[in-house]
Amino acid sequence: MLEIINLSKAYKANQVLKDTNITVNNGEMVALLGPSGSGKTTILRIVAGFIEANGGDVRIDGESILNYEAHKRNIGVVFQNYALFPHMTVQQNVEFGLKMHKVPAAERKVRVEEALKVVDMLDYAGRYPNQLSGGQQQRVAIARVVAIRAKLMLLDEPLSNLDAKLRRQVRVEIKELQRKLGITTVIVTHDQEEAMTLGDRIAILNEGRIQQIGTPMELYDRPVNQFVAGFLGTPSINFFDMTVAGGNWTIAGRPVDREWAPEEKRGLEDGTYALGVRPENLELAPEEEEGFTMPVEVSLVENLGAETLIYFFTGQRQNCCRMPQSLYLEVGSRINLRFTFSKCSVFDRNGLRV
Amino acid sequence: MKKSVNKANALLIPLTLVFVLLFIIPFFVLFYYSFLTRSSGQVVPSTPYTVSSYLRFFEDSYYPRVVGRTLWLSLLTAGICVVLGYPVAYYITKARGYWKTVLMVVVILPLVSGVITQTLGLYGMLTSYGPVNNFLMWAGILKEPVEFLGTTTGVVIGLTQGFLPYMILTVMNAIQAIPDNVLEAADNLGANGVQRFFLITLPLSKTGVAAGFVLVFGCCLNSYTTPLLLGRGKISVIGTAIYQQAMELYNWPFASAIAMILIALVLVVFALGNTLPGVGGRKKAVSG
Repeated sequence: MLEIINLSKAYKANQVLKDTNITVNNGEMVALLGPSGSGKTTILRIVAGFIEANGGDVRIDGESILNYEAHKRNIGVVFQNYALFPHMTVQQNVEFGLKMHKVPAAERKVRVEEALKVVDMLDYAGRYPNQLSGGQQQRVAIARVVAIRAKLMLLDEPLSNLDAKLRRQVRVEIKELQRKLGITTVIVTHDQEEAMTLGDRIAILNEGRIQQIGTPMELYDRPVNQFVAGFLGTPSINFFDMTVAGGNWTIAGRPVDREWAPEEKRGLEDGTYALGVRPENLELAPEEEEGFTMPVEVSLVENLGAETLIYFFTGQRQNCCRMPQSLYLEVGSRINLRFTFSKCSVFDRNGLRV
Repeated sequence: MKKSVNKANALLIPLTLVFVLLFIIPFFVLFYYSFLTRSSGQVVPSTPYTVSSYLRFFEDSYYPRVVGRTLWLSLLTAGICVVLGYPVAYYITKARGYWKTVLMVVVILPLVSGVITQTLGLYGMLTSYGPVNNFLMWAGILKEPVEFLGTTTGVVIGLTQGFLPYMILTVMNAIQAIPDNVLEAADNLGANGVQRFFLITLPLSKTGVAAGFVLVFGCCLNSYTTPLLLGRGKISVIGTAIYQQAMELYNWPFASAIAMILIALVLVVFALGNTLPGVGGRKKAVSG
């Protein structure tokens, strides 16, 4: 079990990580997700021992590891650009860690073979890294970690150097491999799709702070703030301005019937809110229904075959609606949209979930 | 596409002209001269054509010994430069900020200060009662002053001082080219600092060491000022031998022949250097 406790890091006045707490259970894969500069790579580098923390603690199975140097931690890192040793063959790359850990030669041979077999690279043992494709190099990088039987595997943006098609394939492979090995894993990524598919749980970071930790669906359906809501999902969630003044409600400037909202939301205090509506939560209403539908003008249509993305403006803001079928709509045509209010998230003026 | 490549080639014309005029043509002139006969009362040699200059080179052991001495001095200097230069290069690549800049300036300064200035400076330092001898006697390492000037030692000190920056810069380049995360990966897999250096950093920078070695070695083979001044005319190397034949004895055919042999030697050294593992053509990466 990996525990990250009140971890903080600053470069001079620049506080890149603030009181971060994450717990990763044995065998679990947690994705650290956030935009660049959010501190996710800093966490990984502190855990691996490449940089020092300013405060807080990192524990593995209850024991603090911060006092151990990087080479004594037995944590395997798979680097973004794989960082294979270019002057060594695949075999030697995988064997390196075992040699450093003083594993006897006979056992080394067995473990190298095992590790290469796991990543399906046994046939390439004699090759040099520059004779391998990006995907193959990455498998060798993983085999290096597998061979030393690391307690923890850290993956730093493992898919960002692969092309789109390969990325999808490798994503599946990594997930299967991690399950098979049962190795506790932390993956750093800025790609929300990657985080959602790979992570058993996701920790979303922004500006050095954890925003929310939870399963992908918890985060997707019940984001604690507007940042999390906006960061997960493509196309992004739509935010409609919502005002409550006594019994009078407006959404995107149009009066709506309070009855539309689920019961627990009807008692909202007066004020302005942001209503987060996922694109797939919007649907075409057969006819206009005063107070319950939104009449909009179509500004752009993207027909993707299996689904259609319809864009429209509310004020200056472009929104998106996803229809699970192929639809032919003229740009400029007027449609009526409706959505299930109970599936929406309401955020107050500070961006926090209400 | 093709047209733009042709246009880009035009950018090479000025340099090519300079190169042809100042290097290729003189080279062939020298090559031609080396097969001519020295004519009395004239600097420019004349026919008949002969290979006697080349034969003379090997006639007795004097000139082969000059070549041998030159090779030995160059080899020694290049070797010392590796030993002295590598740690410095390593240290500078790990240094940060202002300190790194200062170190870089210190390394580069000798390259822009001119060989005469440096050599004469060293001359003063190395005299029998100069600072170096005084220091060594004060420190109790020597009882009598050592004669540096006019000896091989003095010349090697001078050559090392002159060419060390090339070694440092070349090795630095090689060390800097090693990605940080390759070193981190070594750390991560359990290598301590010493293991990391000998198993990763050193093997990955040996190309730079080889390149620096060949560079310093080639420069030493060609050196003239340093052996002349610090050797006080007693240490004859190829460079000084050519100068003596051309400018003092006006024997241009013979001077040219020695020059040709020198060029041949340099080419052999570079060719040998190229066969060293990891120096010549590298394996092409398969991408995808």
